[in-house]
Amino acid sequence: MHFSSISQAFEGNDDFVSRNLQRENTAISLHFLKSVVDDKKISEQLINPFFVLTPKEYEQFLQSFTDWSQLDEEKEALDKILNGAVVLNIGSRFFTVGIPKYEGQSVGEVTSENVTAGPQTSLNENLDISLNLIRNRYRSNTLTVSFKQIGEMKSSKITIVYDKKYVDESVLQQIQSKINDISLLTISSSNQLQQKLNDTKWSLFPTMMITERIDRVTKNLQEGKTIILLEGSPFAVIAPAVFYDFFASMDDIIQLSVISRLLSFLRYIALFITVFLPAFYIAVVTFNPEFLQTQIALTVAGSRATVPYPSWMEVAFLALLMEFLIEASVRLPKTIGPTATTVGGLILGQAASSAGLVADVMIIVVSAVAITNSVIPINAMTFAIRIVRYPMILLASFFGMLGLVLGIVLLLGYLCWHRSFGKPYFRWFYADRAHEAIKR
Amino acid sequence: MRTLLEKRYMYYVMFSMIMMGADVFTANLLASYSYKGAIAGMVAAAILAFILCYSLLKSLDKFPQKNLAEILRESRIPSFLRILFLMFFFLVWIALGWFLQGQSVIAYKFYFLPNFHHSTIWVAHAVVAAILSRLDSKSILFLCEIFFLFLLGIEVITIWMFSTYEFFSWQDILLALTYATTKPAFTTITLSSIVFAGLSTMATFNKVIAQEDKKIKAAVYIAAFGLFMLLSRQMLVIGASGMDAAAKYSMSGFSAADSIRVEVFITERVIYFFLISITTMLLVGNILLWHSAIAMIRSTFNISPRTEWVVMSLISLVPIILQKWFLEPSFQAAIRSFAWIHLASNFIFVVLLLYCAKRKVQTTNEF
Repeated sequence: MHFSSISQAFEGNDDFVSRNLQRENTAISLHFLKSVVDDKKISEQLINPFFVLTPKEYEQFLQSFTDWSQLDEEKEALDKILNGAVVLNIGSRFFTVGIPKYEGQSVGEVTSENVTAGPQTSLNENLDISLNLIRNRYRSNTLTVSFKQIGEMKSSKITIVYDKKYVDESVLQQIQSKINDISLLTISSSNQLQQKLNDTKWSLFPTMMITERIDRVTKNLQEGKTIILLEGSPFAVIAPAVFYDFFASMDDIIQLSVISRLLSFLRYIALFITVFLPAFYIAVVTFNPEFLQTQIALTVAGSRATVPYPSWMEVAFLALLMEFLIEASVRLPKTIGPTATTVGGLILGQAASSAGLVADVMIIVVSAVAITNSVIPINAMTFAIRIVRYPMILLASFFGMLGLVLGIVLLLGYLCWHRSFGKPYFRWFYADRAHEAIKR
Repeated sequence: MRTLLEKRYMYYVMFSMIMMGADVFTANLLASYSYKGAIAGMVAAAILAFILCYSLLKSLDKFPQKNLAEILRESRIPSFLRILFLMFFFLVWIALGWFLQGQSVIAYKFYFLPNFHHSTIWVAHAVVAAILSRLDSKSILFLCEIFFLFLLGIEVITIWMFSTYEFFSWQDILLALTYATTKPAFTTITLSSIVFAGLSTMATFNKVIAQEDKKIKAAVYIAAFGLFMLLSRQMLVIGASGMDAAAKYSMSGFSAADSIRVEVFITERVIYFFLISITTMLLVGNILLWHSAIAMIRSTFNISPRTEWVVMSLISLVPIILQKWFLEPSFQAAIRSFAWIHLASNFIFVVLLLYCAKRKVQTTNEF
């Protein structure tokens, strides 16, 4: 076994450390992944004794470790390193001593992407901790980590993580080149980094995913995506990301296949409702009430009997009110936010309906839209969908059902045209993309 | 090297055009030829489509990843002839797009927006089609894939709903079949052939779609699917309206759909559901055709994006003038006349490609 082959296996990994120690006529070398071993223990338990003990005593001392072994095969060495061991090369022999580091105490819980039965630990603002968490869950010698200082002041440290076995080289090159071109003084958040990496300034839909979930990070590494971590931010940027990625919850891989498929299907129905329901309401109420079954049409007409203005105004009024409530719930202190907005929403809705300013059916429509909007698992997509709804309302107000059809075709055309780092953003068949990832 | 899209996209384009063509042209126009050999005309059109499709695929084999303009340039066709051919195809595609829009406008005017002026609906359609037709070919094909799969489901539902409708007349279908051996009027062949409009769009999409190796199989699939859609649409209209009514009605397809008074989900009548699907697909078909046209202009003249916008804006505004002839039945008569030009253009297109392919083989052999 030659150590050069181990070094080759970890080539390009900035967290891989090889250190030579020399004392009189004795030399040893230590090899480990900095992100998964305990630095302090290495110094105290491996390096200090080397300078104190004779070579024979040192070997005997190493054997006293519970997780000690002598290596015969190269693959064994790779596995040990990935699992938090230090490989020591003494003469022509190789030993390993396990000194793993498990970050756990200092790690927070996931707050923005909740799942019912999955891991709850989130990434950390400290890059070393985040890397340790990823390495401990994705133990592969093809996982590559590279550090970079970005910004004009070179004060923002980022880490690019990818699996070189699956990564799309063209995407990786694009990301690296864009990172090198960042001209800001400092980068303070992952969202800011994402904006700088974006292809187009006026892109409506997100082409990168921002996550705090470690399981999402490891899942995407397997799919050949590139992960970018920023020092000081507990979020990772995942690139490229296509439309379907934003509708995948981590629950999907935890739940039974049938259930996860059903839930996934529900999310797309929710998407359809949240984007098109207000526009559909305007189209049928203003232009084609005969489209609805007679009983429903009469109920809607009865409900609107006291409303003094056209349906588009009613929709715009309540939709904007809902936007204000959502914004308020984000800005208000956590202790009173949910209560204030829920009470505010209920009172306002009830009062507006009793005063005859909006139809009861409209309250149902707006509530359905708000609920279904929250079903989308990733926040960035939720924001995009909130915006898309308004052009639909506008088109339906002018052209009724025709406007809705034109809006659907325009929206799908835009999505099909959209690219994430050169990859098609919206294609019908998910299988194709999975196949592409595996092929890579 | 550019990555090519899978072969299935060729079928999406062909089948989408077949479905929408059958839904509007067959159902609305061919039904009136029930006594004049419509069925035999459809069979003849399918045989023609098989020959054209096979020849097209065979000749395109010699020009992988090239569009028509590039093929003509490579084959050293004199530039005035090249421009003449390309302008001819450009006009045919643009005009077919207008006819598709026209059918959509009729549906909207009759059923959704009776208070709107024809030209308003038409221009709204045309503007969206013009905007989206400027996208790259791959994006257009992704869009086509989505709507094709969506419409396929609708087609199945349509056939099921019509054939299980309580007043659906199987007797009339049997009667129509007795006219299957009647010698077809040439118009029935030209009108049936319009559903194979997807063939000529390969002039553009050949650049981004991988080539089909099994050419006979592909040609059989396309011709067979076309024949099935033509026959099924014809029979559904006849079954729903009756043989005589189908022959006399104007826009017999829409009238037949109108006669199916079935409540679906929250909709009072299923026709709304059908019409929205069909008009959406017509818009996508229109985008496919106009994209082919604009791509042809783009690679022939190297025009700037601004000029492209000007050209597309003018094309979008033409319906304001066209709507003068919009009153029935002149529009239907215009489609009948156009069907002849369209069939001729398909022939010219394939013959031209065969000539270029032969020339390429000769040139290769010389070296």
